[in-house]
Amino acid sequence: MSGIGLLSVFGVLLLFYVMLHILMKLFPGKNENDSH
Amino acid sequence: MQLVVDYWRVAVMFAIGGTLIYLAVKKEYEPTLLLPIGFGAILTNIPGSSAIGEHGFLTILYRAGIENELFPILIFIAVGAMIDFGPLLRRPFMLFFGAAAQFGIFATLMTGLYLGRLHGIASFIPAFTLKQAASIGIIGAADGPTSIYVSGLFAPELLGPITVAAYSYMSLVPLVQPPVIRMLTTPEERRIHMEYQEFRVSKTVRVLFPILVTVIAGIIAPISVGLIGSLMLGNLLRESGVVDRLSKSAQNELANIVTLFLGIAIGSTMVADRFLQPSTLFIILMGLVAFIFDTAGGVIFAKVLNLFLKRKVNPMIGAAGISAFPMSARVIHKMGIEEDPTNYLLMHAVGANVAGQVGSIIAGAMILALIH
Repeated sequence: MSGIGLLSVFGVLLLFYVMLHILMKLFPGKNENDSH
Repeated sequence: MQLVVDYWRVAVMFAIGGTLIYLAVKKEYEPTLLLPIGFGAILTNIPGSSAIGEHGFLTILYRAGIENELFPILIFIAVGAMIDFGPLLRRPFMLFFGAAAQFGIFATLMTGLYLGRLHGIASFIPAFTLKQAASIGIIGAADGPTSIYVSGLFAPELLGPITVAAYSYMSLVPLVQPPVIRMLTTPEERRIHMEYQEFRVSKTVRVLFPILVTVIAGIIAPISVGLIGSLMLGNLLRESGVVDRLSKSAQNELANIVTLFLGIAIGSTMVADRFLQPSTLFIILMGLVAFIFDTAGGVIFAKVLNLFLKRKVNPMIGAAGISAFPMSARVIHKMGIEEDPTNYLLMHAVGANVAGQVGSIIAGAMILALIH
């Protein structure tokens, strides 16, 4: 139960990691002037 | 005789309420929450108090915002509006530390269930149910609203001690984390330098991040939509740049009003009969276990990663993967400086710390999805 829980957290965050990589490739900050 | 016992219990609850107020005022330990909780506990335990009961204002507040989870949800909107995900967006790799440092939640959950087995041997050891053990474990999220949200759903009878433990240990991070980190790392490891490159994150990424996180997490665990969606709504208000008034209101007025209501409403759950139980002591102890295992989980994960990485990470960064922001990042930075005055770990630690804020809420969501 606990093992599944921790693994599922890793799994979801891995998805976010992949998503962020794709986003950063698609919309690199250096080409925009509206960043914070 | 019964009257004497009752007044003794009331006196103890006054002392507990007074201690929380003392910690808030003198030590500044999470004062925005501990002060109203402490006073709420005193209001609740005054014999014949009109603050509780069918028409008491604390009962009305509890029903209006805790029983139905509204207050934690509103707090999430406020917290989301306050979070700058920038340090994490620049270093998405930190997300893994945000996951590893949730280890304490699940280790404590197991500890809680194991304690239940010992109940037959020693009756003073509480037999926690799975939902109660999960609610106690979530103290390890180091994230007050997540603890309140999960325990409000799973174990409302334990809401008072769980909330007090969660906020107390969050403020005690500078005392809890360093000894665990020192025990698990060598001075050489603590001196590892990490390269840092500052670059701008596009507004498109900042706006898309909260939307996509909500959609992905919501599809995986629909029960988490309230939890994650409200946090990300707050963040979207902030990052969109077009609703500055709403963002500032969420960060200030909404956060302040709801924190006040949340605090005194939680204080109202600290009724002597329910609070003065052995289970409260166990919850306080297990909260400490959760924070210790969180820290250990993050550090050990970083050390394991170093076996495979060419550019080593400072294993202390793993400990910053808890949600207590910015306390944990500051602790790690300070420890790095102590070991080597030229070692600036702050930006990496902040990245891991922000990842911990995402990790803790995802852990809460996974617990809800797996156990509900």
